[in-house]
Amino acid sequence: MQRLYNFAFFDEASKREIRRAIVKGISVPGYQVPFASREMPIGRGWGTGGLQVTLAIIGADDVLKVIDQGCDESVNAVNIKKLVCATTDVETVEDTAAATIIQSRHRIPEEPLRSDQVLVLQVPTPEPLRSFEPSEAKTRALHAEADYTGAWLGLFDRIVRFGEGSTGADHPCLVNGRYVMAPSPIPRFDTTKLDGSEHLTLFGAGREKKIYAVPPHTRVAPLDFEDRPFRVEDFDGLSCRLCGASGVYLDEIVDEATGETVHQCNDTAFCAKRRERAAAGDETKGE
Amino acid sequence: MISNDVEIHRMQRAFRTVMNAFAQPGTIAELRDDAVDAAGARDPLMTLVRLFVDQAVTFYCCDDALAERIAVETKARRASQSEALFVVVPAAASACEAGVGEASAGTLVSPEKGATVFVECGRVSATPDEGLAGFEVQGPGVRDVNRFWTDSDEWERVREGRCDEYPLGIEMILVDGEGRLAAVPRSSSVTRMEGGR
Repeated sequence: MQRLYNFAFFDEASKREIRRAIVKGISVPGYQVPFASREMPIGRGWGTGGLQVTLAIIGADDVLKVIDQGCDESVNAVNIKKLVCATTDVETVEDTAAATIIQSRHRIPEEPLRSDQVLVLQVPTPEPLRSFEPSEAKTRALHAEADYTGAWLGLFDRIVRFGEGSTGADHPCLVNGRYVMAPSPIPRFDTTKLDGSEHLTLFGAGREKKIYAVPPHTRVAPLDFEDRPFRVEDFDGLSCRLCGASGVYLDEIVDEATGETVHQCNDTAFCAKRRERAAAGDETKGE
Repeated sequence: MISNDVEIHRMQRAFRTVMNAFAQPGTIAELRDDAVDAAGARDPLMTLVRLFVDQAVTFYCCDDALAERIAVETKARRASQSEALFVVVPAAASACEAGVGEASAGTLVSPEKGATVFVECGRVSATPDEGLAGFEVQGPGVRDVNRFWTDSDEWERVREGRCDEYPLGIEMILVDGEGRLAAVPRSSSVTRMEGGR
């Protein structure tokens, strides 16, 4: 028997459930909207939340880009792309500018996104107060009362222990002056890209059954203290060994044989595009 | 193999139109040819209903005939205006008070339980015109200020009169017979423009 999949894998009732949550998420920026997360043909924790959001919004005319830790070709990104393509036949690209939907884990692309693009972020732990309060019922009450003592205590604890208030990634942010939100495990470098952005960002947490959103032109303020301001990762004086880009998020690579440390762009599509342009420029000059 | 039903694609495009309208409150989006039923009849209000309402949610509609049609078509359960998750307000202006004023604002623990209200207008426009009331929208999704015009200002007076305290509140979608719509989420601040009519 030949099996027919519905367009975008889900039945229409499942899409309605996710779409209702998306609309509420956009309407109350930063608030985690509970939804009936579906079983997916990939394991929970592998991007099922982002995948459900993508499948609920994607259409035949969309162009999809999926990245994992800045890379279009990692196992997670490739498998998600395969599933979406198998059930939608949409075009996939690596060029950020050519995509209409960008699903990502751990990064926001270097190339600034436009208002006609949607960024979907996969979220493992959507609750910024979870390490402070294990009870879901209690964290919901804390959000209701805008009691974010736990988030502030977490930062204070880091200052006491490490002398630095900033987290490694997933730095909690105050959205639209009301909800403290986990921006997913993006580096601090990317957190500032959410503030007043041109594009809509949707966050999907499949295991935790939450969807939330940051609309365009919305204030997203990383939590910090007056005397310990929020700081992004410092790449001053460093540039990509491949394309020469500076002022971007760089990976540090240590050659174990020589002990030499080099840096290169974390966003592989951005790096490749720069190199292609440079090569094209060289060819033009040579003509 | 993918099942490619025309209706599935129509609803997907309609949803993206509505989603973009919520992401940019106060801008005019158009459902165009996606606002038709299976028989090809243009019906933007019912398109919104079909997008979001099903057996998992409740709805309220003051027009009994329309309410019956929605219940039969979507299998959704009817509820009182203060309990329903979706409120459908057909074009009759007098229905606005009953539908919008009493709609659920949600709770502080569950603000998502605030109602989504579909208001059918005579006309929704991105430009001023004779007989239209103008509104300025500010808040998340808006860079400076967005402006749009509708033939009635009753929805705004009733919304203002609710005095909802954010994050409690209702979402509104104003749609006209041509499928032009504007979304006004609870996070938006709406001001009636002086001399906009």
